[in-house]
Amino acid sequence: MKQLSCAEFKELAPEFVFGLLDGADRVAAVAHLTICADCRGYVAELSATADALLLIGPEAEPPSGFEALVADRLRRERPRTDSRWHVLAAAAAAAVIGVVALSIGVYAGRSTAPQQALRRAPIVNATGEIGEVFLHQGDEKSWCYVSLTGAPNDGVYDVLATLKDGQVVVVERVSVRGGHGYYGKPLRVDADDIVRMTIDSVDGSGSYWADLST
Amino acid sequence: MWSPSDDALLAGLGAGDEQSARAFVRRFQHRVYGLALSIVGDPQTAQDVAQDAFVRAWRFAASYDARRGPVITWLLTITRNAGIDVLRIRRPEPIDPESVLALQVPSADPHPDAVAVMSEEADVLRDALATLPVEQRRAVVLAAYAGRTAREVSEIEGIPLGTAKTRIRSGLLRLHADLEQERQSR
Repeated sequence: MKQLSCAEFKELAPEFVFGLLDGADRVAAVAHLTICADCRGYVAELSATADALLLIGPEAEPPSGFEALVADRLRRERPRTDSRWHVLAAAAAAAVIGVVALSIGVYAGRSTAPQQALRRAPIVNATGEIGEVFLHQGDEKSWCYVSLTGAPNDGVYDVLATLKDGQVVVVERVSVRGGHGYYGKPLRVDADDIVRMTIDSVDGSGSYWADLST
Repeated sequence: MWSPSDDALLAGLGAGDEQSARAFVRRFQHRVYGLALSIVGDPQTAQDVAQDAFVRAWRFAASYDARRGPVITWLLTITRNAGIDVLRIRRPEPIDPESVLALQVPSADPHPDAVAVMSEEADVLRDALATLPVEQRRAVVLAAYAGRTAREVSEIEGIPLGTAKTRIRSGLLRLHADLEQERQSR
């Protein structure tokens, strides 16, 4: 991973506070912040200004019925997450496996079957296993499902994917409560290209990973 | 008439209370949709992004920390991230910086349900933004309200990447200095 000096970090800082950094630059910036208190202070001040800018940002009238659409969507999503985390985790994993089963069903009519539709790897830290990750390489879309069931620290975490070519892609940001958190969504990259998943707390208090190189 | 605080509505949203959820959406939808529209550019995608922002707010409600800032800032940060996620998947449409600058002008007729953020700080920032050198203002507005990276700003403005970075950084630092001066004068 690229190591940044303070001067290099400060050059990236404006894009960092506007949420615009991606890939290796974002990872390098976060890594620098974990070791540099001065730059943490600098970025906190810039963030306050960037956030204040949002307060004077544009307003616009949403399409009619928007409020009802959001309410409907929340109603649809709520049952999946109001249940206990372990039930949720099992259901979400089942959903991923369901997608895989469906894919295999679709593939069954073809001459070649997928060699590796679903990959699973434990998420670990220095002390042991704290969750698991599933990757599904679909025909048109790839899926990722991350389940944390024993994270030592609550908070907000970045889920990062390292690709075969060394590129690091930010997948999503997840919230962990009571040691539990989950994420499941289509990927913007091919699942087959991912060799490692990393889950880094945004405040530098924890880092977990899953090895998918084999 | 009594109106629940932003924090109370967010707590209700997080707890799954439908009335709170609807009130939360009603209170912030103009700001959330406006920011989403300025980032992604087309109304249908902006609606999807705005919906996604409210769903994320519900999902992450427990992680909101009032000590770090007001609910509206937290929600707009979520909206900005949701919009930028979309831009990363689908390359951004060509953009006219003037159209973003026009969007940035505060609405003359704010919606009655919108939270009025009329603090001295907001006024100072609005004035400071208006008085930035125009090339810095365009660069900051494109980064802050249209989700454009320094590289994209350089392409839009037809300037070297280093110049785009300098304009964004100089503009942001000047806004920061003006805000600090206002805070110290209180």
